[in-house]
Amino acid sequence: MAQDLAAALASLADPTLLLVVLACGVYGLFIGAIPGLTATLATALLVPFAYFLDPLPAVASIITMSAMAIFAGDLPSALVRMPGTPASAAYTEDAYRQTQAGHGALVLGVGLVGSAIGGIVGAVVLIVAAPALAEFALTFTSYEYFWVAVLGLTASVIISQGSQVKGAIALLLGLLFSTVGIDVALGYSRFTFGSELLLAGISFIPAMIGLFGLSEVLRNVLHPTGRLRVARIRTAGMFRDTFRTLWRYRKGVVSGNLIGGAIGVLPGAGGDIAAWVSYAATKNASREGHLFGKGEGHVEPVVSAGSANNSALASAYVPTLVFGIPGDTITAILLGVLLVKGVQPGPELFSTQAPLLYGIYLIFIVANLLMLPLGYLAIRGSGQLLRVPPGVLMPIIIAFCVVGAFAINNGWFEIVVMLAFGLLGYLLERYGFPLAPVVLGLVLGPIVEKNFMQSVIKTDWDLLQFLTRPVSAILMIVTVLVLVYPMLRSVWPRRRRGTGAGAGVERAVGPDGRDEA
Amino acid sequence: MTAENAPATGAADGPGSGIGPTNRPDLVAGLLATALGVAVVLHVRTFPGLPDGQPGPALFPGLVGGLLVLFGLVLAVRSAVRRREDAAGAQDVPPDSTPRSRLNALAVLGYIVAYLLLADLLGFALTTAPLLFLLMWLLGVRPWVAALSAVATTVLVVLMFQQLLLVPLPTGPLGV
Repeated sequence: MAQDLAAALASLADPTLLLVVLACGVYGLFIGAIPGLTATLATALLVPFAYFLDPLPAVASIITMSAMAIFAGDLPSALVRMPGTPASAAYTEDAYRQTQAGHGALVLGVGLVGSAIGGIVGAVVLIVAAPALAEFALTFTSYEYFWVAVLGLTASVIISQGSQVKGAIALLLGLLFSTVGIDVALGYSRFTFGSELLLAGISFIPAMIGLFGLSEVLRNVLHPTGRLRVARIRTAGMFRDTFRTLWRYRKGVVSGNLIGGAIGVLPGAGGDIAAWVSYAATKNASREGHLFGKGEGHVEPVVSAGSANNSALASAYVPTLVFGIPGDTITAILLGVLLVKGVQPGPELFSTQAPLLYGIYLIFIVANLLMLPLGYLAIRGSGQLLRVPPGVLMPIIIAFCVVGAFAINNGWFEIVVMLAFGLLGYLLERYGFPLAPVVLGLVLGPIVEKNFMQSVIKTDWDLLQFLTRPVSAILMIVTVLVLVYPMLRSVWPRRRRGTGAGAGVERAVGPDGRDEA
Repeated sequence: MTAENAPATGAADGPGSGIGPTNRPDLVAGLLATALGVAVVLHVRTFPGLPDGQPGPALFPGLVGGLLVLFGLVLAVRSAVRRREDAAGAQDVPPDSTPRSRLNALAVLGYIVAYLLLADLLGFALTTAPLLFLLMWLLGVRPWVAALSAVATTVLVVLMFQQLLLVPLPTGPLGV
């Protein structure tokens, strides 16, 4: 272990890696600060670069970029009342009202330091939980992997925001796309309609660039936000006030980090959901909850929800690395890239690729420490950052979408795939279908099918094996519970007046968050 | 995934939600999903089975198709008996698009189509720089800013991909 750690430390001294981390940090801060451009878009655009790097710099680039982007989402929240990424939406109102009342530097300072703490706590969750789970997962066979993947798919629908029926349809679309190409049992080419271009399946990276890159550009161009009025802030004495405030609301720091760390581990639930849940929990627990989102706003939700989203971002790597089941859309894209590069995440990774894992742990710490100086500069320069005209930015993103899709395979067809998924992503989102389940379906579909087919062919269609193996049975019961839970909630008497029947996490949160929005 | 949480309209809500005008986009989306599911189920019947007579390549997509039919119908039926405000995402509808913004979106798509048609002929740089300029200009950027940004972006992409990552870009008469 000490040896692996030393090897990981040595690999950190690689100048390429440090340069990648620094560049991706700046890039993440920039994209995250632009309202309407999400961390997922930043990931999709980064992937063509990451694809050509070694595994550790590739993962490091995405870790650093996304941590910075989720923090930077707080900047426009406080300055122009628009969340930079969905993960900041929960407390945008509070942050903005605080800025209006003259506490802008404090809110952003709390957001920055809280984000760094959240990222490090999430990394600690990863460092502690992942190896323990991996040891357990070493005993898994195709049956257990089948159930783990099914559990991931189920959870992604149940936790998905908005309608669960729409989440299910989005998931099914992703699963359907994943079946295109040569099938695992017979090598029969499915849904290729005689074309050789689809034999290897729908290429994942161009699909992601379309789904999250092109679709967001289309949305921004079709529904422009107009001129932004950027509030001015004074950063003198910012950090002293910040630490005093964080200490005062230390309970919020702890609860935000716990909630974020726990939610990040769930497949398909990322920083945005963690922030909503944390906001609601803080509001319920706080004696000053009645002040949230009203009047001057309140700094407490920024304390808790602002670290919850970064904490979730890091702990999402737990299921990703241990089971190969992504914890959110960013890790889903990362997982797709690792698979394309021939790195198969799973428990074996923990014994065969220990230096890589220690490197990943260290990168989390480095990235979140680096966030403090870089984030401070971003706060100082946020006025300029927000004045980049969308008319310049959107075409540049399109140019990178096109080049990125092409670069993966030097193929024109990849650009067509990108275009098709861009249109699909725009339409889905426009009509209330979440995009996260599409990615999860695309990534997990082959895993579910392969493990199912392997299992049944191995045992000559003895389906009982799925139920009678102990770990398998437990995983199945958990899956069923996840499915049944929303229905149970509706059968039980409604406790809260006027909030309607509960259906999963977003139901518990939605009304609270929305009343204030 | 805008986190403006629309109240979920899970299977949980009772009939108390009220009855009103049909939520047409949901109805159309539900019927589309159903149609796709039916098409998939019919298509996978042409797939071969395993030698031992068990279903093989058809099993998984067939199941997905069947579930698409099921959930598509649920969405369609629900949209017909539910008030529009209840539909998830309804609160989240962005400001309406204008003829101008629709033109801009078409221009974005036009960029990609034009690139597909021209890049092999003209090479990356000669295609990208003018297309970027045109698109920025259409989106209301002042011409000289657009020209500068277009050239700078083109140079940046060439440096990053061709020099740094050693990824070949389409070459034209200029060699880039």
